[in-house]
Amino acid sequence: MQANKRFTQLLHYIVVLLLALVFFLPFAYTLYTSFVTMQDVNKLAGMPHWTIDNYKLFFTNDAYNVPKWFLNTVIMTGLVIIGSLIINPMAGFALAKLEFAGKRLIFWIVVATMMVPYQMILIPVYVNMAQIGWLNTFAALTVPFLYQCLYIFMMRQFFISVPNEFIEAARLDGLTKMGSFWRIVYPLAKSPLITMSILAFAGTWNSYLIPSTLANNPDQYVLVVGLNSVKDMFFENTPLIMAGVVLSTLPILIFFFLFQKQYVEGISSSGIKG
Amino acid sequence: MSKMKRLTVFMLVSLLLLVTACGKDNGGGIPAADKDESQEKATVTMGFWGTAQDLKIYQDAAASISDQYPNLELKIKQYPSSEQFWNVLPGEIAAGVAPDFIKISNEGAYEYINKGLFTSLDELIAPSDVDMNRFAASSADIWKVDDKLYGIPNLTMPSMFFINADMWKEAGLGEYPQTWDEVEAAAKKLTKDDVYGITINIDAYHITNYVKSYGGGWGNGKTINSAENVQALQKIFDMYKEGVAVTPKALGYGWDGEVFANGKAAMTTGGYWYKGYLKDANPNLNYVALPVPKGTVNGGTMISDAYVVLKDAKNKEAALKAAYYLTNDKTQTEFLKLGFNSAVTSLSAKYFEENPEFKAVEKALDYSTDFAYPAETKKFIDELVKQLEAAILGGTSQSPQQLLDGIQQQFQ
Amino acid sequence: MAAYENRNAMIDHSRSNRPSWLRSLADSDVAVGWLFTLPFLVLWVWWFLYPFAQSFLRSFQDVSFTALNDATFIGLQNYIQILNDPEFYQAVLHSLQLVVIAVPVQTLLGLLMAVLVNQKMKGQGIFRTVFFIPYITSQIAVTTVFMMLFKKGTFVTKFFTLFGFEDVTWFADTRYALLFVSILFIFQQCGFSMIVYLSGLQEIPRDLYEAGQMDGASKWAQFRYITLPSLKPVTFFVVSVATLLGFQIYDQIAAISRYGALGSPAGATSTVVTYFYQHGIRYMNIGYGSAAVVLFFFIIMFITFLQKKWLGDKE
Repeated sequence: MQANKRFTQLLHYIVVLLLALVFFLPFAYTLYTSFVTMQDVNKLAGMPHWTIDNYKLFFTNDAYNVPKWFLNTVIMTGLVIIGSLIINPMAGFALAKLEFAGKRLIFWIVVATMMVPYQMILIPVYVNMAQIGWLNTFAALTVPFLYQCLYIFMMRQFFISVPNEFIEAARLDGLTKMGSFWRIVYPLAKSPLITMSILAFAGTWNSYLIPSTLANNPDQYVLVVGLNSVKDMFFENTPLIMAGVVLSTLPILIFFFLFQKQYVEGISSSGIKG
Repeated sequence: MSKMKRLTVFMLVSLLLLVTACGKDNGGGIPAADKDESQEKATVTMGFWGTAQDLKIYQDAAASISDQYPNLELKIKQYPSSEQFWNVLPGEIAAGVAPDFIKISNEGAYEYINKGLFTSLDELIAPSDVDMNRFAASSADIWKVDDKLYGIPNLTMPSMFFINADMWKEAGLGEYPQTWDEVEAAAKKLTKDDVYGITINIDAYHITNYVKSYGGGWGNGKTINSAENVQALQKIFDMYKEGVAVTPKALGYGWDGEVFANGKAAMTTGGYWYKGYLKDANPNLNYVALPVPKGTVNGGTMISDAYVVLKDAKNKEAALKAAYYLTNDKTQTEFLKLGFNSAVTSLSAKYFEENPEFKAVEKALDYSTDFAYPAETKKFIDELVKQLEAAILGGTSQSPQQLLDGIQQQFQ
Repeated sequence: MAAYENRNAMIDHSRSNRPSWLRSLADSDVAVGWLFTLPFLVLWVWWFLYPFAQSFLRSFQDVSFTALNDATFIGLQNYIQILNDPEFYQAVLHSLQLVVIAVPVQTLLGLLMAVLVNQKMKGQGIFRTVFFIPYITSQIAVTTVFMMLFKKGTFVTKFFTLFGFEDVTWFADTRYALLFVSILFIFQQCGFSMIVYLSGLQEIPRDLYEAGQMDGASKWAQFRYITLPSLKPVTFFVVSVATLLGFQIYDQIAAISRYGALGSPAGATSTVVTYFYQHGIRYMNIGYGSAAVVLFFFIIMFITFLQKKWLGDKE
């Protein structure tokens, strides 16, 4: 029995390690490429060939205002996450646990909206933004994205698993349906909310198409757009682009590493029980 | 109130405040011209995408424009990429916030001119005091469609042919090739192990050079399946069949410059911008630049950049003046140092002093010509590339004649 | 129930003396339902429905690129033209192939990874982060790296020869290019599915397992009869989102086609989104492109509807 358990554990480690190796490889290569010169792209160069010039360029060239872009990104991402944490769970809860006319329609609205590639509505959105003078403002980058159908859908799927008796019990204790959401269901949905925050953070932080269209003035660039503007007219300086990728990915990486600790088996789930 | 609720209300309120504040805070999207209406000064915006070095030159020029035109203010609006520019342009035009003029290459310009995107400049030239005699006639001609001028030329340069000089010497080859037949023979000797004699990028730019050197061309869509074009394509197919040519993609590279820089192919067609790339990608590479080899005639494409005024520009005359100002000797000399040959005739000689490796190509200035793609340029380019990829990478058995006939049918 | 009682004790009863109409409103499904969906609906109408309606109208128009307001109504002509274009069917077929390959694999892999890193082990946080990295790294960067790995003669393509593949540059081969894009998609989407499953696993009541253990159920039986059924709503979400995103995959294909025509090589990776992009934006035929999206919209809608049925999502 003991030996069997040891073996399972060992197997577990081997599988995880192998998968981790595969999943880390591309990032490792990105990291490596960001530290070499263009001559060594596509080759494996030894330590002496490594350089931090690619990173240096971003912080020394006047055309690249990395701190400003970073700040812009933080503001944009922060506002979107705050909005997401309020609007999406509310709608998700209504769709999962409340009975009202129009509910099915709203659910299919949520699903259908996800199916339209944003490129299709980008030009009308741009024109509407211009008409109300929002171009190159944070309003343009955040207001239309305070809700995301993806996460409304996700929250609905999580709230469906919350037993109805649970809300009923809260109501017996004198809470309204609204109250039972804010005071019982919402605080206990910690791990889905963390998941949503992580995903919304990554999605917003990394977005390119929308910010590069709605805020295309270098002062209003967000990090990803700014770091992407290093592209040459005719060819790509791959190491420089990779250095940009590493710079823009690191904050999400740190964010994720800090928040994933919240997924602890058996603790956060102590609330919602049948 | 419970903590949770208070927090939520607080977040909602602060969110609303922030959002409204941001909305009012900065009306950066409102065209600057509206604000300056009370003043005499005209503000012109140039749309631009490119490197940080280019941006610096343009910003310097913008700072000094009032020396020559006291009533002009020039703003440079940088776009993250050309793709991004074209994505957003329809919206910008509809919203009235598009730039007044842009710099564009002749490779895609015919389509936009045909779609009526740019202003014809003829009637504006005289009142704006633009001296078109400063520019080489060959480059100004490229910007004429139906005898109407659409651009102030900025750059003009023939395409060229690059050879890895070390590989050439190593293979014991003598004189550099002047015809595609000589190239083909040399490619056979240069091909060994994992090195190919020549890399032929399946890309409209490169293919067009082959076609022109056989006296062919696209004729704006009228002569896609001409005998000359078929002959040129046959040469490309032959070199692939013999195994002396390779596409960059098959080796896992993005474009031919990478293949050439990494020593995986000894020859390629190319352009002036390869110099900057090769310097970064492989500074030890010894290469020579020659005119595009002859098929049956001297021929190749001429690359030209020009400033074009958008149809919807508010003050077209001011836009033209600003565009013309950017061709001043000082700005052009700065670009010259970066490897761009000026369309201003008096500066062109200096270019070949600054860039001696391109000296051999100077004579191609006389006979290289515009791309002459069909009016639906992008569609044509995509179709040409798709069909060639299908034949060369996908192994369809279409002959060059069948392939070009098929495309011709779609572009009457 | 212990934990629930704890929470219950914290409830503050002092404000039950609010006006009764307000209270009954706050307890009514209809009122709360609409109130809770209102912020979403307002933003949605303003920033989705309105611009979408504009684009939808364009699908019945011949629109000039330079003058969006200068359009002529041409009825269903765009739609008819698309339905007569063999390239459209090819694009739909590619999109379907991609989804059929990628979605099941990424779902299973995501679940496997979530289960693996949900168990206590050394370096748990690191492994979770590593599995999540591909999802947060720019798609273009991951594609660039994959293009360096999947070219002729590398250890990756040599490894795949064990499974009968030829040692060629995958994205330059018309037979393998779509599979290459599918692998890219699986690789990046797994991290997403993993963390959704990870939080799904947290929500499974502990006592279900305790009961299972008392009945002497094996680990596998617990997984099969407790974990999997509890994850059903999450699975519906993971599968439909992967399907949607799979249909909308664009950046990776654009990166492969960087120096060629979109959908390179030779259209082997053309999908409905690249079809829209090519016609609507590149060729500046916005009406035509919009019509393609509208047509495809109905196809995905139908598929999601089926998925909802099959995966037994309850309402």
